[in-house]
Amino acid sequence: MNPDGEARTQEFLERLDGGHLVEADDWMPDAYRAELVRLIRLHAVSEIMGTLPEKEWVPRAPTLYRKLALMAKVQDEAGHGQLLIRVAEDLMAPRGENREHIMEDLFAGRQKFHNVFHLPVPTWADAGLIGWLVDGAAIITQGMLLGGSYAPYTRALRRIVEEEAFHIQHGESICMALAEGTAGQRAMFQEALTRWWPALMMFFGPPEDGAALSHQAATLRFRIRSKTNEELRQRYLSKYVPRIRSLGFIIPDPTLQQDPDTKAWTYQQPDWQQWRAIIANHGPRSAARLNLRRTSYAEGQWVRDVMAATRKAV
Amino acid sequence: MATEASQARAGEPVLGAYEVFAQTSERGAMEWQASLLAGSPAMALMLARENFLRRREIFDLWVVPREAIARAGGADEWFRLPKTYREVSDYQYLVGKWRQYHQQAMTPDTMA
Repeated sequence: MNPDGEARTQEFLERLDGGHLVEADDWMPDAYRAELVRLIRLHAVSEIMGTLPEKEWVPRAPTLYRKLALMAKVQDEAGHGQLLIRVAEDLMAPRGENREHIMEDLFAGRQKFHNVFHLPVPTWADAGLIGWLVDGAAIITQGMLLGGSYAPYTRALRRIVEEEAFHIQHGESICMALAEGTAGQRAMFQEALTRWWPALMMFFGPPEDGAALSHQAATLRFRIRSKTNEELRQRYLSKYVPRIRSLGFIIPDPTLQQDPDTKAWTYQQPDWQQWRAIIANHGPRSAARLNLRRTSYAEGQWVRDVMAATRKAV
Repeated sequence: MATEASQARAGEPVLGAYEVFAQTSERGAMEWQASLLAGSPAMALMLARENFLRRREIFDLWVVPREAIARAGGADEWFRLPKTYREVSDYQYLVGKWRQYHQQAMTPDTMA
């Protein structure tokens, strides 16, 4: 970087430290733009790919009420993807890129999405668990990002978090019904919890002493995020472990415990090699979900064409 | 039907309706403030500032020509369909449920 650029970046960082918020057409260092694009693209695509595991249960929801609520949730997630892709597109525009590049990268395996959306959803308890425990993890992350330095992202997040409040209640409601249900229903939830626990521990990413932390350090310095992966995971454990246990379920980690003085949780590290493989599209449902997304994108081309034509004609 | 422009006498400015939106908090959304008549977007911005936003701190201001706004209209029945299954209020019973298990219900505010 040339000396002028360095001085400008330093001034930019000082303004961020003073609480200044950045708008889409403000000057920003390339590294700031790159970190935002990376984060918001990951978030947007995860919202979109996240509709696929849950929509598998829309036709099989146990009651009409549950079906309506689950459809509403899936619809919300697709809407979050739309909101976020617009935020990303404004940042990508100077590089001559738009949403089609995001989709092309997704299909070519260059665009990652969250580990939890690569996994199977074999029972209704898994569908409820996603609403309760996966959306709960997401809302802890998003709540932290609400205070970030890039104002357009935080404005989109505010809308998203408001809708997530419904999602976690919907998920809790399903899980509570199973917890208070028959022995078979309780067993179904316990099996789902056992299946999902390692993925939930992976959700926030590796702890600070792991690898691939450069993006975390950069987003912290740019005040895009304010907490580390491990701080978020500790918060998640404090919020959810007591609730899960209060319903009489067993978390499949015999080492899980909280220090009574420091309140810090120790837990079994998940297999981070497996996490890397999953987000590199080698998860159990990665290929199937990407194929479904690819097919629906191709089959929806005529809809996009018609909508674009209408826009031009008006 | 004669257009506004053809009704105007030569050299006379054509006034158009503008809707005024302001962002009153830095992280907040644009909110409608007022409607006004102006001859150009620049004039509309000035009038909006002087007439409607003299006191409040604002972070950004939009004036939008009214004809640029596509309206759904209040008669649209879609807005009045029952949608409580989408609302947090439908799940308030969980607060009491969690109390039975000696836990507090969670909201996004308490989680972040």
